[in-house]
Amino acid sequence: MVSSRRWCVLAIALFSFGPLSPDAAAQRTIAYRGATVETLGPDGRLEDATLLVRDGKIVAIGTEIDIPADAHIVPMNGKTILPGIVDPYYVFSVRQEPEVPSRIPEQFRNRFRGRTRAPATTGPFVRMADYFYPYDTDFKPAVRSGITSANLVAPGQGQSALAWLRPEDGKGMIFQADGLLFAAVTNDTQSLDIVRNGLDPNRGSARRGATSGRRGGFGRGGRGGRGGRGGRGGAPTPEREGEASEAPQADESAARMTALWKAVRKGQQPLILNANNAAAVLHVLEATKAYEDLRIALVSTGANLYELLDSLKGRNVTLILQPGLERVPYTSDLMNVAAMAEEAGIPFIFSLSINRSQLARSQDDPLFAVAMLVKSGLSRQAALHALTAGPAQLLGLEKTLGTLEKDKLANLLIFEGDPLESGSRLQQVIVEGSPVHEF
Amino acid sequence: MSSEHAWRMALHLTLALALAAPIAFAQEDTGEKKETPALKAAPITAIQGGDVYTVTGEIIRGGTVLVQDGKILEVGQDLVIPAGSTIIDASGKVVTPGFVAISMSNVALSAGGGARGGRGGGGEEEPEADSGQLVDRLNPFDRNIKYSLATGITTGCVQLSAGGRGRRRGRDGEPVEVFLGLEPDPRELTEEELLDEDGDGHEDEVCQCCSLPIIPTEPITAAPPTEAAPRDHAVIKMSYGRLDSMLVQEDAFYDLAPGALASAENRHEWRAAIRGAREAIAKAAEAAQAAAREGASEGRGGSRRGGRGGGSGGSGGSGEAPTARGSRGSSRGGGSTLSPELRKLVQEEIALRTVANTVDEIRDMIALAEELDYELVLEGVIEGWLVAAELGEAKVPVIYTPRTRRDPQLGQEDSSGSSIESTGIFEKSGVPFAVAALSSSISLGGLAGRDLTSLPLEAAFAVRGGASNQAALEALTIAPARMLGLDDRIGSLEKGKDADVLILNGHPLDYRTYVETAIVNGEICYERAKDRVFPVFDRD
Repeated sequence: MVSSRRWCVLAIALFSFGPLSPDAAAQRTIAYRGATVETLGPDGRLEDATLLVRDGKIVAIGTEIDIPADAHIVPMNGKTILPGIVDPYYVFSVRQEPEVPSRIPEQFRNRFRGRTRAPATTGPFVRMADYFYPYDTDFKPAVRSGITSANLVAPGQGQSALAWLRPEDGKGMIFQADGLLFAAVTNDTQSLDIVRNGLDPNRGSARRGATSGRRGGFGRGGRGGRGGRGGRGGAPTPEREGEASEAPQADESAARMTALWKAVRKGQQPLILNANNAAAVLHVLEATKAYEDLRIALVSTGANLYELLDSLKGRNVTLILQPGLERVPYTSDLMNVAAMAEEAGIPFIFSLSINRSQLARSQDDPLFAVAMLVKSGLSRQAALHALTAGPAQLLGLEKTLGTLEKDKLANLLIFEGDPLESGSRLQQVIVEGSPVHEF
Repeated sequence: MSSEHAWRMALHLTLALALAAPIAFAQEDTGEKKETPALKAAPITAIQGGDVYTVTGEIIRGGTVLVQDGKILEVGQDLVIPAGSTIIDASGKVVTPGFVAISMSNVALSAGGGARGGRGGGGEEEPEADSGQLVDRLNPFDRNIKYSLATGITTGCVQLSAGGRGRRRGRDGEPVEVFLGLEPDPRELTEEELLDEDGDGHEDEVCQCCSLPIIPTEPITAAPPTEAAPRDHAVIKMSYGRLDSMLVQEDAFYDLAPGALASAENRHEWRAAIRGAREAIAKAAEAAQAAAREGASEGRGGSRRGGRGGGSGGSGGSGEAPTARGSRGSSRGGGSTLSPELRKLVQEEIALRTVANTVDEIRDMIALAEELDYELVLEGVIEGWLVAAELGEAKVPVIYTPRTRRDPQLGQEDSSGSSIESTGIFEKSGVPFAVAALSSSISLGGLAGRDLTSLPLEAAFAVRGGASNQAALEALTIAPARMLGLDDRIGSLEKGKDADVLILNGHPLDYRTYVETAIVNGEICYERAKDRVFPVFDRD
C-alpha cells in the first residue's frame, strides 16, 4: 500500500518536472519563432512569424506576438511551417478484427494477425471504423510524407473513417468513425446501380423483380439484365443486406446506408466516387445529373480526366488527383492535369497516398511531385491549398484543420526551406502539438 | 441528345420570333461568333471544296456539305455558306459518308460486369453474372474507336456476345473475334490452335519470313447442328468522347450461329418458335384491343393502363426470370416465351442473320425465310456466286469477304469453293452485298491487313472481283445501312441524314488513302494529325 503511493508520487513528480516529454510539451506553450508560415488562411504567407502552440492547439500566430515568459522557444531560423497534409482518399486494406482474448494486452495483439481475415472489399458495404485494424500496416511512408490526417477508405463501397496518422495510437487513430460515403464505379450496370439506387431508393426495389432470363432455345427470355437494372448493387434496403448472418446487424448497416445516401442526396456531405476509367466518369455525370444538391468528390487519374474537363465544368465536382505530371495516353507527351483543372475552374485536391509507390519513394522530399506541377504551370497557392485546406473543407474539417489559424489544431510540417524547393527536407511532422516524425 | 436538340430548337424559335433584329446584327460581326445568340443556337459547319461522293447520288466535284445540329443540312455545288459557319477546307480531298462496319467486335464497349466480385446482391439470385445493361457498358473513350475512325468507320454493328456452343472463349457472353472467311467449323480458330501442330491432325505450315502459320484453304463443310443461342448485336456510333449519341439501336439482327438451323430437329423448333411468336403477338394484340374496349367504357385512365399492359404482354412473360427459367425445357418446343428480338424479327423490324456457305445451306435459308416470312441476311456465302440469281430473286443481301478463299471439296461434286469473281457476279445478279474484313475486331498484332482496319481494302478487293467502284463503295456504306434498317440515318450524304462525314486524302478504295478527318454526328471525332493513330508524314 505504502509502496504504491510512493510510486504514485514519483510518477506525478516525473510528469510535472520532467524535461520535454510529449505530455509535458502539450501542457506547456511552445513558441516557434522566426518561421516562414504558409497559413493558407486569410493571413497568407507570413515571414519571420511566431506560432504559439498549447494543448495541441494553435494559440496565436503572427509577426508581432508576445511570447509568454514560460514558453519553450524553438528558434526556426527561416524554416517554413506548413499545415499538416490532409489526405482525402487513403485506401486502407480492411481487415476484420481477429478474435483475441481480451486479457492479451494491446501491444501483443498483432501476434494474432494470422487469424485475421479480410472481408470482401468490392461487394458489401464496408464501414471503415468497424474494420480498422492498424497493427500490421506500415504507416511510415505516409507519416514521413507529412500526411497528418487521412480519410480512410476501402477499395469497394462503404463509409470512410477519419484518422490521425499517429500509428502508436493504434485504434485510437480514428477520431471520427462516421465518415463519408465512398464507392468505386466503373462502366457497368452493377456498379453504376450502386450510385443510382442509392440516390433514388425507390428505384432499386421497384425494378428488382425483373431480372434476366437465361439463354437457350430460339424463344429465350430477355437478354441478361435487360429488364433488370436494379438486379444487384446494394440498394440501401434491409433485404439487400441479407448476406450478413446476423439480421439486426444487417438492419443497422442498412439504416446507416440509407441515412448516408440521404445526406449525400441533400448535399450535406460529399459523395466520394472512384471512377476507374474515363467512360465511368461520363456515366457517373449522366447518372447524377438530376441531383442538383449532390456534391461529388471524384477520384481518378489525370489520363482519365484530361479529355473530360469541359463536361466537368459547372458540375458540383471536386477532383481528387494524385499529384504529378502524367503522360497523355498513347503518346510520350506529358501533361499537368492539375493546372488544366485550375485553368478550367474545376476545384481539385490532392491525395498523396493514391500512388503508394510514389509515397514510398519520397524519403524526405515528399512534395517533389507537387513542386513539378508548380514548376509547369500550376499556381503555388492552388497546389498548397489542394494539399491542406482543400481536403479539410471536403471532409468537413475546415474548423479544426487545413490552415494555420488561431484555435486550430497544431498539425504542423516543418520544412528546412521552401516546401516546394527540391532538397528542402521535411524535418518534423507534428500532430496535435506532439511530434510524430523527425528527420 | 433529343432533349438538348429540343432545347436548342426552342431557343432558336424564340429568338427567331422575338428578335428579328439581332440576326442582321449577327451577320455583320461574324468575327465574334460567341456573342451572337442566333448563331450560337445552331452553328453550321461547312465542308467545302472536296469531291463529294454521296453514294446514293452522283459525285459532286468541288461540292459543299453543310452540317447543322448533327445532321446534314445540305449537299451540293455552289451552295451559299451562311455567314458565321465554321469552314473546313476539303479542297483537293474526297468527302464520303462514314463507313458502316457490319461485323465488329471488341470496340466501344467495356467487358461485361460481374467480373469484379459480383456479390453485392442477395444470395437468392443466380450465381451466373449477367452482363448488365448495354448502355452502361458503353465506353466512348475506347482507343479502338480511334482506330475505327482512322479506318473510316463511323458506325459499327458490334457483336455483344458469343452465341452457340463451343464458340465461347473465356466467360459466357464475352464477345469473340470472328474470322468470317475462316470458319470451317463452329470452333473459333485461336492463334494457339493454329500454332499447335498436333492439335488439329494435319501439319501447319509456318511462313519462312514471319514464322506465323499459313492458314490452309480448307474445303467448305456445312456447319454441324448446334444449340440455338442468338448472338446479340448493337449498332454503335463511333462518337469518341460523347456518350449520349453512341447507341443507335440495341437489337441489330436476330443472329444465329452457323448450324443453329442445320438439322431437321432444329428447323422444326425454329418453325415452332416463329409460329409461337406470331400467335403470342396476335394474342397480345387481341388482349390490347379487348382492354382498350373495356377501358373506353371505364374512362380514359383505365384505357391507358390497359393499353400498356397489352403492349408489353408479349415480353411480360419473358421478363420474369422464374418463368423463363422454369419453362426452359418446354419453351424450346412451344415457344411459350417471346424474346424482344424474336418479336422484332417476326414483325420485320430486324432481319435474321446467319452464316450460310454452301449452296445447300444458302438455298435452305432462302426457302425457310420465304416459308416463314422474315427478312434474311446471309453471312459467309462462299458459294453464293453459284446461286447468285436465286439470292437476287429472293432479294437476300449478303455479307461477304472478298478475300475469302476456299477449295472445292474433293469427292463432292456439288462443292465448288470460292470464286474470285463473287462480288462481280453478285452485282450483276442484283444481290446487295456488304463487305466484312477477315476479322471483326481491331488487332494490331500478327499479319497486317486482316483486321477491321483493312475494311476499305477489303472493298477494294471487291472491285478486283468485278464489282464496280460504286458497288464497292456502297458495300461500305449504304448496303450495310440497309441491312440494319438504318438507311434513313446513315450510309450516304443526303439532306437530313446524320452528319457522319469523312474527309479522305484520296479515293476511298485506294490503299494509299488516309482518313484526314472523321466527323460523327456533326462533331469532329478524329483528326489524323492530332490523334496520331497512323503516322503522319509528308508524301510530297
